[in-house]
Amino acid sequence: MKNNLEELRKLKKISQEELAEILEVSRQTISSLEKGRYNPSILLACKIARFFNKPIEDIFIYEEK
Amino acid sequence: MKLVEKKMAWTATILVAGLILFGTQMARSGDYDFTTGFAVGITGVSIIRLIQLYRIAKNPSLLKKYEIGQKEERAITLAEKSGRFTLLVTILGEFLAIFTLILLNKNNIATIVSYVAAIQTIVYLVTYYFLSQKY
Repeated sequence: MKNNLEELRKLKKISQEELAEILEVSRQTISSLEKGRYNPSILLACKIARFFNKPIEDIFIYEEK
Repeated sequence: MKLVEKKMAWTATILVAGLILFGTQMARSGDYDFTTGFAVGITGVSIIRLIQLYRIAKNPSLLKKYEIGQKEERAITLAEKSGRFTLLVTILGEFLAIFTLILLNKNNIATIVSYVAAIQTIVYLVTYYFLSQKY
């Protein structure tokens, strides 16, 4: 699944480390999410959406194969 | 009880088990062998792990990182995937061992290994059944 996490994080001018601390995950998780290597649970997706104040579908782009 | 304290308690239990194993084996045979080597191994690893955990427990920043690392969903997902792969490899290894042992005429050991493989498979199926009822 693609996502706009990196762009949104950079717009907020925060580092991966800072975002990880806010979301209570590791920096590696943020890195994996940004690279699209890991899909978050609905819980983490909600936390991310709430932090960026955006709907989930604006951050995570579902592509049907 | 905090996560790190639970881990310390578990590690201390393994350490004590290692010391007991070493002590009883030395009392029985009075010499170093595979069992005493194994006991020394788990005791040594437990001591190192306890020191690590103690350092983490005493440092709030390290403690927070440790707790996040232990509880976060990606770490759990990775642990589950590793566990699944390990189970698969273990069961395949056991079946390979059973055939090899039969070819070597070590039927008693082959029977024990096959029991272990069967128990693992049953535990997997029972766990799967109960989890499917829960989720």
